[in-house]
Amino acid sequence: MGLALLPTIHSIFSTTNVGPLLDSFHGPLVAVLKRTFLLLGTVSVGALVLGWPLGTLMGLAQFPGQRLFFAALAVPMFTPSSLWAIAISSVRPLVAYRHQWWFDGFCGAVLTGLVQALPLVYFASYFLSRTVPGSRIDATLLAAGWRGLLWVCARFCLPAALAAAVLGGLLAIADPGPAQIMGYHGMASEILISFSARYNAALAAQKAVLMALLLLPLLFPLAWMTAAWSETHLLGRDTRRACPKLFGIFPWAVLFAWGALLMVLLALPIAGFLRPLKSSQTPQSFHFAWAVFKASVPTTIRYCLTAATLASLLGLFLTLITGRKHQGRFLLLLFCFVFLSAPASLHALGFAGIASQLPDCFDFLTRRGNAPGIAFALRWLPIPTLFCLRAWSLVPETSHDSAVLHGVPAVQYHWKVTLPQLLPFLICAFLLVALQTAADVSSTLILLPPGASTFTTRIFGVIDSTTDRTLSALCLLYIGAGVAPLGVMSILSGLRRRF
Amino acid sequence: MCPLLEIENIEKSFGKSPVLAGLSWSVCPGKNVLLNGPSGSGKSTLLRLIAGLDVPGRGTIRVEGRIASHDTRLIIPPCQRGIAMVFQDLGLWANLTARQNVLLGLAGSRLTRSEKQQRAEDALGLCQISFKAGERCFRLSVGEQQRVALARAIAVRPKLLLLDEPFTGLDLVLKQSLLDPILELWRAHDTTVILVSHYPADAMPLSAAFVTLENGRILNNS
Repeated sequence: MGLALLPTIHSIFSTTNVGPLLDSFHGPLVAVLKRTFLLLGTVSVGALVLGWPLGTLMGLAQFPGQRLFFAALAVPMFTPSSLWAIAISSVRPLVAYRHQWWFDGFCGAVLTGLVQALPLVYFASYFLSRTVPGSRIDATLLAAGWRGLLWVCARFCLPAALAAAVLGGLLAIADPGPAQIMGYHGMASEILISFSARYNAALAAQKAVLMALLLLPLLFPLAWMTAAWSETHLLGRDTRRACPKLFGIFPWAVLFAWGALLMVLLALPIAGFLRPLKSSQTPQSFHFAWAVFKASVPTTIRYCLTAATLASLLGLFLTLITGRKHQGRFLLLLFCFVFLSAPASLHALGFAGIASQLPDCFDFLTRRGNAPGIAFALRWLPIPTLFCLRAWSLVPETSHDSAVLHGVPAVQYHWKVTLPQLLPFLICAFLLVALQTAADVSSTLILLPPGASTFTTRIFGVIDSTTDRTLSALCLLYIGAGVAPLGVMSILSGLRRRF
Repeated sequence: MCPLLEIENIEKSFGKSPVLAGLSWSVCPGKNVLLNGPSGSGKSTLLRLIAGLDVPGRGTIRVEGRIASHDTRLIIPPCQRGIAMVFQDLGLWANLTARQNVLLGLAGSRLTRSEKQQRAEDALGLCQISFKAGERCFRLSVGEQQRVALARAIAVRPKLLLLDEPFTGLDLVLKQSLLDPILELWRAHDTTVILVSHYPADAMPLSAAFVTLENGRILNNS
């Protein structure tokens, strides 16, 4: 945990070199901050309003094509938001001029943020409503009918949905890409400009710290509440799983209406991607996109694998040493939620700062090819940690007690019993970290060694200088490459269930 | 005769609520005990303290005359006490097969590989679950899982076998089929059994003494 926090702490201390923090708090920056917080609030509320009821309803229902629906919803989670901003801005020519403001500026930025934040809230609510014990569902259905059941489940999912909505909002304001495309500049753009255009890492860090300090009064209580809630409910004793229990026509109608709304929201950017491809030069665009992909994929995969492997191992280690101690678990959860919600650039700038001050012998860790992978492993450490904590909580306590009583050596026990049960969760976390690493733009731009580039940064680099058609081809190729590992994972999980 | 188990004035509380308050008790070798009492009276806690899975707040626990736990210190680790336990929720390693469960349960013993395999087969046979030895535990019915848990416990041939409500939810026929291997173990290896049960009738086949626990103290010991 200390290792993960070190770059952030370094960033905070490095800001003392550029003068008092409040000196940077001037007119233009205040306007930028206002824009940033407006975007954060709108995206969080929108994602909560749309995603929370739908996720809860879905958790109680089962319908044909559910996996396909999930896959469609998962796509935005591992795609850089700048790609969705490109797609949404491409919708503009499809609508009348007087309606084009919907896909530009603040509205465009909100739509882009929603496309990414909604699935987060949806999946949080969905998985939470699936963990409501079956006996509680039966009892509520008997006592209060499906309306009561919905109310109970929605209330149960609210803390997680709220946390996911805020996280989605934070992700929306952390990426400078959509701001650049939509012309709605926020703090992420300010930080990137300070670092890349003014070559002033300390100033960039100061802005990141300022944002973190302004967010802290909101985020810390929320992280505290979420950690306490998760410790009790999510890591509590697992009981009989919920079975899908939706009866009557009305809940199904609500579910499909909500689902359709969500799909429309996702279909908009897809239409934006496809519109420029109606041209005879589309094959050349795909040829170019393929060449860019081939050139950047080794670096991208290297960073992704390093980050995912290291983060998964560290997450597993943290979980194993924390075990079932309540205080330890609470602290770990609090660390995860606070760290996830801190500005990503703060971590990246800190890592770059530490790298520049360490002696040469540390270059293989902090400056060579693996450096961005290591930085991302520390940044995304909360993801595998949360997954492993949840998986660990599903192993009954008496299973460990039996091992202690029978004198089973710890290594043998973990290898034969614990690890196989944690493995599905670890694989999910591994994929998520890898995809998040591939999707990140802002931190990658700060951490990339000279001459190196990932597929995402290559796309980001040509946004202003290439045709819509080529951009669409690049984006579709990215989505295709991201869907492939998810598809493989889905097939493997299906096979595992069958055997 | 030296008691197999001696408990002296132990206290245990969770937070501010005391569960066991100055409890003293002893169990002689070969003298089985049926422990009962209302829910929340501390039966499971007492078994966990005896097994060494938890430490008392105060007091001493002796196993075969040796101090096993004293106040908040664990002196003899659970695996060296010669105790096996069947938990209320069985505590099986669900991803392993029945045979692997029994074999892994013998991992702490100083037996050769072939001896362990022989022990495992014997225990599975005694519990009449050999025909499901290759099945993963999560695929077994509750009754079958209870047999596997019992097989794992008796395979180590413990001096003291702790059974925490192992017959919950079983019909009479199944209950009898689980009692048979316990009786066999008792007769052949002189294993003492402490059985937690809400049914006094369970004491009869084991010729067990009847002990009632209430408010953290032993009410009667007959």
